[in-house]
Amino acid sequence: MSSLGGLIVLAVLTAASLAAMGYLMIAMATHNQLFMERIKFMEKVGERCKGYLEIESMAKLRDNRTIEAVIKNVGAGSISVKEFDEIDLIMIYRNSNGSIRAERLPYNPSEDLERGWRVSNVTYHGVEELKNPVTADMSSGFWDDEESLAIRAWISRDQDIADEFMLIMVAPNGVRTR
Amino acid sequence: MPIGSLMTEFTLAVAATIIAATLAGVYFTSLNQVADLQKIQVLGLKEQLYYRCDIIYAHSSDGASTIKLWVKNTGFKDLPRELIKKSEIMILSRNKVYYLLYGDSADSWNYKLLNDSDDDSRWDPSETIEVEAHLSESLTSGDYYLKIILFNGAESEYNLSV
Repeated sequence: MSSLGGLIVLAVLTAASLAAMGYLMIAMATHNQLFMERIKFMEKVGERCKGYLEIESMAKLRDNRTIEAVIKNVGAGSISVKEFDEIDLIMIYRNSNGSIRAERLPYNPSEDLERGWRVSNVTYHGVEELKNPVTADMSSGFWDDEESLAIRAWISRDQDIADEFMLIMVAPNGVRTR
Repeated sequence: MPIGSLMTEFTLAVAATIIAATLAGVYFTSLNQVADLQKIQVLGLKEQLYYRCDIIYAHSSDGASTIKLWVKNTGFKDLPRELIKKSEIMILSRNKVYYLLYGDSADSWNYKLLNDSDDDSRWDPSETIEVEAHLSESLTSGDYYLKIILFNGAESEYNLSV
């Protein structure tokens, strides 16, 4: 092959290989970006699925419509007091008619509703919490991991808790009591 | 150099270029297809994660014709009323299957938002809806399997004993 032909082929091949390398790099960067996006989503899902809530104690008061319970946050992440209205509290109980009822009680810190629940205090292994303490007026603070939330829940006056009852609490991220 | 030889070399160079370009074209098209597939997968994953729900609890009693379900939005996006209404509910018992669509009549379901703190009538992440499934006949004592399916196919299941 003459030098002219060889030069043309070399030039074309060089240009083609440069273009291919550039394209490959762009393709690899795109793949990498998509892969990272996937990982981020999986992390997000992981954050939502971690931990659980554990009922440490619960007791019915003498009025037969109020209960007090202590619920521990076991690795479910910090929950802001501003998100407490997104916590679901479902009380299942048997009334004096013998029928089983289930009610989702709304968060009601001011206790002005006929039925609801409010927070009494947040403690860490029985003592006052130190990390992100919840203020007395419930305007700021977090219910953190390993902390226990004491709550008071009440049902309407036309109902009563005759004997057994149970609680289901679900955090805003979907983590629930075991 | 004779002109005939030059022409031959030129033809060979053009042929080599065309072959190289064709091969490169096939290779790049395949790469593009792989990238497109990955993009579709990520989009699918996004939609599955964006719109998810979880049945927290379901309740009914022997002789009742309604089942109450509390369903939490455990996704990352809010659902407008139009999309919530596109959800379906399946109720299976030993000898009966109910397939319920949104509505007000028997064998349908409706809902209310329980903690719509921003008052936008949308089902935001972490918010809960109370779903009432109305059946055309009363429930008898036994086990029921409930499933709610969102518009995108995301579903949540629950076993209920009446």
